[in-house]
Amino acid sequence: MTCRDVSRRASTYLDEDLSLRERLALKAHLFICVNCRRYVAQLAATLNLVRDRQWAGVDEEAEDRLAAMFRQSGKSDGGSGFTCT
Amino acid sequence: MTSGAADAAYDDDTLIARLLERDERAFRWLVRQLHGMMLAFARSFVRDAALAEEVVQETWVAVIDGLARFERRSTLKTWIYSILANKARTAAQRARRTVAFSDLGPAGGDPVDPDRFMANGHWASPIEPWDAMTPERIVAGQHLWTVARGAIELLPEAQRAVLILRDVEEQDGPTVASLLGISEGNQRVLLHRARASVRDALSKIMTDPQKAGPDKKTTQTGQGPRRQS
Ligand SMILES: [Zn+2]
Repeated sequence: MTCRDVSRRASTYLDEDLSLRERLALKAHLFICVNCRRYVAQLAATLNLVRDRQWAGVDEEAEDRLAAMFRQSGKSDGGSGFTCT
Repeated sequence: MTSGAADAAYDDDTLIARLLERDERAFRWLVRQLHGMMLAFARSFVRDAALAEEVVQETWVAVIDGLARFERRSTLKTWIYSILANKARTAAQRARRTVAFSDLGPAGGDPVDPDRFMANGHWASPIEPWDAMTPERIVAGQHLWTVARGAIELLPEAQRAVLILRDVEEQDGPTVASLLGISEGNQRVLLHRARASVRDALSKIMTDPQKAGPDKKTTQTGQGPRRQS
C-alpha cells in the first residue's frame, strides 16, 4: 500500500468500514510512514472538530423570529395558519 | 466548553412531547441545534442566501405543522432534513438551478489531489505535524471552528451537503444517499473529498508556526499547488 492508497482509504478507515485485509495493510503502512500517520491523525482531528456541535449555533434574531412563529402557530388550534405544501 | 445546563440535550421522545405541548424552550433548543447547519445545507441547493433562509423558514413551518403527524420511522433530525432537502430541491428547480449532486468533479474519486503524490505513490512533500496542543491553540479553539466552518462553506456544493449530513448531523451513509438522491458510492466519494479539503484548510493554521514562518521570514507556506474543484 502506498501513501496515495492510504489517502484514498483514510476516511473509510476512520469510519471503521475497511475490510480486515485493507485495515491491516493500512496499519502496516502507518507503522512505517510518519507522513501517513500524521495525515490520518489530522483527518481524525478534523472529524472530531466537525462533529462537535458547539459551532452550530444560530443568530439570536433568527431564533426569536422562529420562536415567535412557533408561539403564533399554537394559538389557532391544530392547524397553524402557516400551512404550506 | 459547552454552554451549560440550560442547553441540556433532549432525546427525541421528550423533545417531540415538549414540542407538541408547545414548549417554546424546547423549540428554541431545537432551532439552536439545527438552524445554522440547515442554512448551510440549503445553500448547497440554492446559492442565494436569502432564498436559502426562506427555504429553511418554510421547513420550520412544515415541521411545526407536521409534527403531530410525524410517524417516527426515522429520527426527528432525519425527518427535518428530508423536509428541508425536498423544499430546497423544489426551490432550486424554481430558480432553474440544476444541482448535480452526482457530479464528482475532476480526478474521479480521489479525495486528495493526485499532484500531491510522486509517481511511486509517496507524498511529494512531507505532512507537517499539527502543533495542536499548545496553550495558544487551545485558546484558539473558537478560531478553529471558524476556520473549519469557513472551509465547509467553501466546499463544492455536493460535498458540503454530504459533509453536513454525515459528519455534522451524523446521519448514516444510506440515509444521506437517499436524501440527496445519489448512490452510496458517490456519497462516500463526496464525503472523503470534503473531509480532505477541511483537513487541508485546518492544516494551514495548525502547522508549527516556526516552520510555517509566521512573520514572513519564509515566504513558503503550506499551500501546495492545489485547486478547489
Ligand atoms: Zn505513507
